[in-house]
Amino acid sequence: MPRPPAGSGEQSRSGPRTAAARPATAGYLRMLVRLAASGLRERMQYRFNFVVSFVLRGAVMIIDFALVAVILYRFGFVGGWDVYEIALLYGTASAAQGLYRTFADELERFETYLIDGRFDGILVRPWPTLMTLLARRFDFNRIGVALQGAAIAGIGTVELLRRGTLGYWGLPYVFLLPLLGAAVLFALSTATAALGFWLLRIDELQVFTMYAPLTASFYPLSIYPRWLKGMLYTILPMAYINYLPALYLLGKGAGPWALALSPAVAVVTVLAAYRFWLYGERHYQSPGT
Amino acid sequence: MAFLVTAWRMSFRRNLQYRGQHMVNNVASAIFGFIYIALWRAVMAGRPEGGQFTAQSLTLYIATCQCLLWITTFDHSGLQIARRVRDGTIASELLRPVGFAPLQLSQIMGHKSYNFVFRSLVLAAIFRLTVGFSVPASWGAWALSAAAWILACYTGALMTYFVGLAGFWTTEPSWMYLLLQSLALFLGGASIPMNLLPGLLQSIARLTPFPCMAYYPAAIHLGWAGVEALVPLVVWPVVLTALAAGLTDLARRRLEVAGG
Repeated sequence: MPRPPAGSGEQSRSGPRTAAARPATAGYLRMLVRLAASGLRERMQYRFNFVVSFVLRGAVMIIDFALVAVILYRFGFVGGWDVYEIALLYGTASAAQGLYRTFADELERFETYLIDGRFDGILVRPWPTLMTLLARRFDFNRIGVALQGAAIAGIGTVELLRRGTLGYWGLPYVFLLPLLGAAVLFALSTATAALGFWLLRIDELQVFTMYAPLTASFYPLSIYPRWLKGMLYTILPMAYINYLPALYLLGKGAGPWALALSPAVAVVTVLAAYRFWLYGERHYQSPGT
Repeated sequence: MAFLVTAWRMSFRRNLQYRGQHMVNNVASAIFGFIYIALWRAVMAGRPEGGQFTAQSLTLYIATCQCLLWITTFDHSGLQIARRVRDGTIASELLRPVGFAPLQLSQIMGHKSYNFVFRSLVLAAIFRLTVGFSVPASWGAWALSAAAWILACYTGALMTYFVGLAGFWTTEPSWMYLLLQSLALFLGGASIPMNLLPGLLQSIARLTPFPCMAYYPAAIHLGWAGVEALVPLVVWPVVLTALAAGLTDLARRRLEVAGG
């Protein structure tokens, strides 16, 4: 569905919404898959870089987890959680980060689009701007982070299943956790990028809205001061990507409602972030470059 | 020499343009500190007090390291060498009548000096008002601590330079930066004091320059170590400076400009 030119009102910026737009959405998804494939081919032109980057990004995450493992090796527990339970938190959050960065890496450099005016070019494309932005680059190097995060979560999960701390009925939910996390990270990143329509510079803000809460989600939230926990349950809702469901799955508290609440929060945050993006887009002022 | 001082000063001044954003990042950086402090407090909860490692001493250690990291490790504004190799501008920079390595190091030191004033000191103030931040007890301790911080900063500048130099060999040196950051946090002791590492890891850490970026200066600052901890802080910068000269020469010889 061709979009009216930029600047012709809300309809032009809000993308396909009607039944007539559905074929366009399917077309968009097909286009996305093709762009992803071509992105992978582009990456493979630099095979050495791809392989080294793929391995080292994963290795960095393993070094980071080794730090926690060393602390737990020496002291046993962190806030009543042992190394396998924390592996579940750490691995699922890392896998979520890897997935999010693979498919939405361009949001991380959205600031440059605003500063050098490249967002003007995105506005005149016949697709919703956010989707057009995401389709510009898929960072397949990050798959290494997702896979190695999944491996850490897998090691924790196998041991927790063996001990009976985690029931087999909870296994499908464990597979869902990285997707929930990727959705919440995507929502936070989209909302932060949308703030750029007013603030212009958002790189430093991303550290506050994305990476500090992500790091917090690697460990049980019960260890944090009340103000930090409050943030992680509300404006930066990382509590729902792994900690809250894990509380119930591992029999450490919470009720079955936690399993329903987390996907609900993920959906609501994604929708709210997208609405905020559309609202912010209407306030975009081109630098004219 | 005057040119290098100018490069250092200009790098400092360039960063002044972004003070407001950096303050936002300081809040995030403080939160990272609070996360690791909470982790250590949870680990030490219920353990008998006494000895070098208590919840309070580890709180002060993490707070000190969080401030140190800004002058040693966090500097991925980077040198953009990979980009400069790609677009060809590196060729004219290598032709300048001033050494490539000294010029880059001056700029890095300018950036790190800015970080000290507008990030480390701000973080120290935040920690002082919240969880506590230790200051040396005597003039002698101040002098020792200052020497340790300056040497740590220079070691960090050299490590940042090595990350930048990787741009001569790879189009994506960002993974080098991530690796450096992780090793500084782990082997360098920014997240765990080096003497709490298991035996083999501790031995490996002692053979690397990473503890110069966090553990040694923090230990001196907190009074956990004396003047003897300055030895690696003097030796490693000398070794790394020689290595930087050698690698710069190697990079210059293998340079193949892709564009421009």
